[in-house]
Amino acid sequence: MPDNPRPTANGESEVPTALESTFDLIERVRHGDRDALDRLMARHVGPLRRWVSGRLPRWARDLADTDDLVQDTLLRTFQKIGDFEHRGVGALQAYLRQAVLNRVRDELRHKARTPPMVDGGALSLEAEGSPLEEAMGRQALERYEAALSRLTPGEREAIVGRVEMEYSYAELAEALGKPSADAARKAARRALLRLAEEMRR
Amino acid sequence: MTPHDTLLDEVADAILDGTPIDWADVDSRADPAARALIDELRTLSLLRSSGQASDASLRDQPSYWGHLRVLERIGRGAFGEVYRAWEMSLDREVALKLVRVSGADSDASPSVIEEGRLLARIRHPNVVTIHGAERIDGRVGLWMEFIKGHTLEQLLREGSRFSETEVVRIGVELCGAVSAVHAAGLVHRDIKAQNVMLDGDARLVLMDFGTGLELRDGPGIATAGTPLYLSPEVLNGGPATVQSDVYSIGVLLFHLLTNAFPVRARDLDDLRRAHASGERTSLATARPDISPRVARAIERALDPATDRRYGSAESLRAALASASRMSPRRRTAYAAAGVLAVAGGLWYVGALNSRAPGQGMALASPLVRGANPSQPLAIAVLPFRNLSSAPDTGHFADGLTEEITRNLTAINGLQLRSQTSSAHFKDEPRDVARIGERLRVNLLVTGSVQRDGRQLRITAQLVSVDGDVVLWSERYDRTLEEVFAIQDEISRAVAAKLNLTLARPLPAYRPPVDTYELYLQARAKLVTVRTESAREAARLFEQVIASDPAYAPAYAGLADAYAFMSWQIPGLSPQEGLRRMRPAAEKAIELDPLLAEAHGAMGMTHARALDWESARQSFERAITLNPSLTHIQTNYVTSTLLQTGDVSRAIELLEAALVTDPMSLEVRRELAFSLIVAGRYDDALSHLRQALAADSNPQVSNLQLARALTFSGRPQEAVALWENRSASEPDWERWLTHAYVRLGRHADVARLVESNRSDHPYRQALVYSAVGDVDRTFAALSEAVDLMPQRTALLMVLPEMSLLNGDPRLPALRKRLRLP
Repeated sequence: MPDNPRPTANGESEVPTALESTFDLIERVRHGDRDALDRLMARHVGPLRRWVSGRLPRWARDLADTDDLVQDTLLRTFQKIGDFEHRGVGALQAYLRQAVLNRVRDELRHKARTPPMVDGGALSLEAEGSPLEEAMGRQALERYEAALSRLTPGEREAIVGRVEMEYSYAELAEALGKPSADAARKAARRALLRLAEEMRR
Repeated sequence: MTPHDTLLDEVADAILDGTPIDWADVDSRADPAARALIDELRTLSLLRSSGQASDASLRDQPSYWGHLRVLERIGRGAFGEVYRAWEMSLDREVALKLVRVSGADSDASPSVIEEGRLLARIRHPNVVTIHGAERIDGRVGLWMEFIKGHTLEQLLREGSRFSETEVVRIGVELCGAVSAVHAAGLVHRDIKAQNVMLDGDARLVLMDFGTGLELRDGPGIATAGTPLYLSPEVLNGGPATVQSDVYSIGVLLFHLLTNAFPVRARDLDDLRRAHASGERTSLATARPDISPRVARAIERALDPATDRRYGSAESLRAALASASRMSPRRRTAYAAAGVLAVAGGLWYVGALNSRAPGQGMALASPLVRGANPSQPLAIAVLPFRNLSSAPDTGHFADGLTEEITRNLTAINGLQLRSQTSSAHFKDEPRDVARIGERLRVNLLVTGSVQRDGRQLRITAQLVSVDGDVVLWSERYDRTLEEVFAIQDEISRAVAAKLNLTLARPLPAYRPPVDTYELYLQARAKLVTVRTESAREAARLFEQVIASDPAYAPAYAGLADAYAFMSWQIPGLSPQEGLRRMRPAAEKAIELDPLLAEAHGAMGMTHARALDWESARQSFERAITLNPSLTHIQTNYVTSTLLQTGDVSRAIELLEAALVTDPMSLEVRRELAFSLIVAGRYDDALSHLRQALAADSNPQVSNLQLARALTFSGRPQEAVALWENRSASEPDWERWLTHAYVRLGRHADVARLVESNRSDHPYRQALVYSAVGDVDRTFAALSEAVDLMPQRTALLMVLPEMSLLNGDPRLPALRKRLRLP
């Protein structure tokens, strides 16, 4: 990529030893450690914003940006989150994404900024005009979603984390519970090829 | 690991890392068996292009596409990219537009190709020549004439100003180009300064059938064009048509002449609001130096009403061409283009703002960026169908409709259409799209009522006009006594379904059902404004009150009934009317301070007492409480606003009421009446003609039509209208005195003056003023002020009474009416 490389493009083969465990941080937040909260936020806000910006149509994204819904949701979630450890960081990522999506939906409802009611009144934020759809087209996006849902949770996290949230492999290793960035890379590669196979069905 | 696996891993890594992939190379190395998998990976590679899409196309530039050699990218947009390319077989330069979604959304490509081929058949000097459209290597592309030049928008932005002659020539050529598109059975849909180029030889070229080409029918099409160029009907969700293209041409010509837009707005919501409230700059105001014929032609292209707009681009072309022949000034056209062509060096092909298929919003425009694409929610309650076998139950269904409509006014964020407009669709087949268009709503509440003794079955649905989708539906099998609870449940369900909230509590009073039925009958009587039916209504309201003394709407209705009875000649005296109105209106407010009708009735009472300021406050309060009850607004206008000289507020209110209640003849007539007071006779005529087109009882409108014709210098037509007796009533011949005088029909004038002597002074004033007898006019008015002050105050603002202006006796008369 000639420009706009992700800041983590280099050094991805380093083992994430320096990375504090997300769960350690959550634990510290629960004991009132502001610093830990800052670090948790720093780690998760960016990827979730990227994910949201790919998934929401632009009008909804603007609202999410304006009110900084991602940051706000994460703050609330981290402060009240219970014991997530046994389900792994990957499950946490999925949980956070759902929390953000729910929050955006709620906000839109409260502001009555609903899109025209065409689909039985349900707010389908992913419906039209999201950058992902612009890039892939509606049908391809649907096939992608369907194939994604047939993968294992680990495979799914690898793809969404790397491709949509643009995690570094070190971050991905933590999320997937892999020992190294390289192991995460291999897992993501396998997951992507599996996904392509699934899409071909 | 086979080389094949290595290749796949390589591709997968590149996708995961967002690094460029040379797909031609991948294809050449790929095992044929892996081709399908490679195709999927190629689709997946698009995932990474979504966020920071700017990089995606850079790395994805093909070196060849079919028989074209791709030279350089010259533009890109949401739809894909435009390249400069070389057509090798014919040895010529072309512009190649590659539609991005085609690779994945194979559904879209046939229609894109088909429309491209239709466009390719158009051969017109002012339309860019499309050479062909194909799907090659999974990408749909169009190749076309490569134009070197500037768009009109660039020229404007670089400071060029266009003279009237230049604009007319641009208009004539553009209309010719658009006509050619229409003749091919296509609608352009995106005519704007960015899509019209002037090439190096000052030839005008219409470009970019972007939206016309790429958008298929479906949701979102309404807002696909550049919003400031959109016609109001398209903005309101209507389909793009030949006439909406004509409107866009009008906007473009306006823009070239003024560097501004006829309707300005910050965002899409604001634009809709500005259109709805008729906020537009006329060309004559913005450029008073333009010749009237040219200005008129452009204004007519810009007319919000399609029935007044040119029906085709060809008609607009003809009007502009003939206007330019009349124009004394002729200058070299395209001077600006010549200058800029020298400065040129910029290679440009338009078409950068197009949208991909299926994408709803025109996000490329700053106007829309950040705006909410959703339309304002506008709703109408269609008359509930009466499925009962008993013949006298129709008003029950009507009453239910009315109550549900009333309850919906309590919902925040919902524009409600008046029941009098939805009532027009009572016995019509259920055609959601048509009704939605006529009432300009995107939501409808429909339902049915079935009564069997005291057993009640009510069904209700909330329907989205777009696609006729039922959003919510419920059936209630209850007893008659629960009818109010059902009404509440329906409105709450609608609010909940739309994620809206109730602004205020729903009314708590509930009369016994039989009483309620009586109330509905009384209301029905009040709709036909005749003395005898008003008297009957008053009697019924009295009965309702006797049976339920706490039912506020009945008191308001009673006050209204007395107001009508004491307005007519002959009728109740105004003093007697007032004596009965006031306690009823006061009681209504006491019982329900939030009832709009109660404040409307109080407004009528104050106005009858000539307490103009209190009347104004009461009416304004009523309108705030329920803007959908347009009878309150017409009452306000004819009882207070016109008398006190606030004709601009009257027109503003009634124009807004016409949005709420688009089918209402009463609102349109009173608007026309107010426009006559304002001296805007042509506008009045236009509204009256629209009213007459739908009026089964045309006498009332015809009288106003005759008046407007008289004062706009066409007394002959006014008299002809009256002489066609089927369309008139003998009673209003005296109004024609003003026309007879203008026509010099002395015998008719003398006859009317003679028969006038013994008439009601109010009517005498009308005839004496026509013959210019100021003394007798004043004498008659002076008497009329005592007999019916409020109505006389209205008479005095009419153009028939213009002879009073400046007379020293006028201030004293006005003082008696408590007017300043």
